[in-house]
Amino acid sequence: MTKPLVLCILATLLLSGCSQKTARLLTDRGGNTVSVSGQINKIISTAPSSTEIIVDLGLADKLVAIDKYSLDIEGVKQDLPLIDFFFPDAEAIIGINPDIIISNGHNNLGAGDDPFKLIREAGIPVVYIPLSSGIDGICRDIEFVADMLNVSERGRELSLSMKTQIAEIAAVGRTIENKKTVYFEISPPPELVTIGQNTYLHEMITVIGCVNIFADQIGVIFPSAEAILERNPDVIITGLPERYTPSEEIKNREGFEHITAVRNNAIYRVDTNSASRPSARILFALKQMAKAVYPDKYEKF
Amino acid sequence: MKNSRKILIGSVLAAVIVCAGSSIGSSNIRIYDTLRIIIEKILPISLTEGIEPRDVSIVWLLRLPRVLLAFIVGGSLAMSGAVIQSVLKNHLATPYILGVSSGATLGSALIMLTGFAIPLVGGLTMPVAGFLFGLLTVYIVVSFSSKLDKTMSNNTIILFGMVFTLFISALLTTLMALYREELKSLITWQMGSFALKGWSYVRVMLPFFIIGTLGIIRYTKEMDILTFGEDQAKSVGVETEKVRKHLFVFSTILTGAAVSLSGTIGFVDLIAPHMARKIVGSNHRYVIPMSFILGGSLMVVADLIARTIVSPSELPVGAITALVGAPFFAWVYFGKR
Repeated sequence: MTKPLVLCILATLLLSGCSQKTARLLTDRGGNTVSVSGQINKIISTAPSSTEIIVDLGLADKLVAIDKYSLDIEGVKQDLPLIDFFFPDAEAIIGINPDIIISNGHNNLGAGDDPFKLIREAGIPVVYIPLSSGIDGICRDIEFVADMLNVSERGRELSLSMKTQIAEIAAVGRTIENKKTVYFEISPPPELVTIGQNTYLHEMITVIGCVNIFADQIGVIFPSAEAILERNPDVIITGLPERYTPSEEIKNREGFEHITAVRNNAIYRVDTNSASRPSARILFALKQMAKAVYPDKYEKF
Repeated sequence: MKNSRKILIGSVLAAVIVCAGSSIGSSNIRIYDTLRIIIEKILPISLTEGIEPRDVSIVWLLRLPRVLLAFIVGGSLAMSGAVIQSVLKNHLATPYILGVSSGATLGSALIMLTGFAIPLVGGLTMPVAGFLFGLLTVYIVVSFSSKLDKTMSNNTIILFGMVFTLFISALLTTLMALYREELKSLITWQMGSFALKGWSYVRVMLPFFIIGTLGIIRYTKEMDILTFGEDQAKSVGVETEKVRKHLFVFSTILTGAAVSLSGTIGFVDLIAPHMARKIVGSNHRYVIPMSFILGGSLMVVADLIARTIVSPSELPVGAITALVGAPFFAWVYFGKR
């Protein structure tokens, strides 16, 4: 009677030992410990920034489902299932049976309403990448995804190349005297949205040799029109798509005609996607900003 | 003190509040300078020497229209609150309870989502839609309650109004779920704000305000009589049905336009008429103008708080009116008994 029991226990121990060999424990960017077993071949990305990182790492073919905003990223298969990640459909996701889900800032973990709770309980690992507050954080996001997908080397290359290019721009930025003041508009009326410190956009403004007029604020803020008039920026940068003709709208905004930026016609637009997605592609927006504000200083970029 | 004198004092105080509202903000401009800027813009004289052009545009293009719009919207909501309370003989009734506000919100939301413009009215599309949907809601509420209860007792109207308000809220929720892309702008708009609303908004609001106010003032005597009860009113020759209908329409014009221009802002329509009655008694000849003065002033103060408390950021004014309004209401209601 005891023999089969002992055999059973031994077998169980052996099996669990085997699975432990392939399972890895990851600490995600939100500080959560996630257990991933085996090779990661089926990835669900819940935000365009993560999709961009995966594509930049050359792993686009591992994506099995994405959010709809990821669809316009070059290199992404156009027939992938699209999932609404504000209200993720647990059945659809479990049906796809991915090896990993990369969840982002908008899917807050530990806040009591984790939209991936059911999915996690079904045994699908979910890693979390909160919105990074600076460029360095974005680099570490990239390296984290690369390590997780076993392409650490490529991740380090990507992040190093990004850092090098930013350092070159920053070197020019540091030489600029009489730094221009900038108001970066994320959203137009009825609700103005901009950024203060602890955001990568603020850091980008600083890198190119400008001063954010809301540098005394922290994070995303909703400024009053008066505050913008009072702080009188030399330059206004908008991240709104061209179809809204944002420059025209800002110029014609009541009361804005006395702002230096409007008087000097110094209203510039940066590529919406590059500016709003924390991935290596912020470089494109950074260069656009640099060239627009100081064309003679950044000629060679 | 005579009521007319109280109203005069109220008007002077309101004027002071408007001036203060136009001079306080994220950049403080002296009241004296503010007055100089406003007078120069109105009269053909030059007074603004030594004042920065930036301050001129802050006062004239950003603050004054905003403060005036807040005053007119607050006053309109308060007047229609006073009317609805008197017609329904219930001091807790507001245009919200009849579904005017939710109807207007639904109408405005539909316009926002579809980008549809009513031919001929163009820029007036939002307030017109707000008014039409508000009116439609009141019409449905009143006609259903009359079907349900031939005497159309006020309790029936209020109860049915609340039920219908819930129904419209459900429609709005469905709409928001269908247009998740626009969810944020819809919610922002619903919270109520006067931010970046220049003279064009004041111009759009004015005709609705004038028509609604004139319409209501015509019926002050009838409102006094209605307060005594339906039978009494009928016995002195008031065509209660007609008067009620007209009053519903005029207060809908006011509320509908106000809601569609500035979002749903609560409590002013409840508090201001209450305070007005405490100050000038129950004669509607005084209650209506006093409600206007108080409602307008309250809204200007609420907006002032909204745009200065976390400066340079802004809060939605609807949050302030509710935060300040609910305890204030409790204080007025229980404290002065």
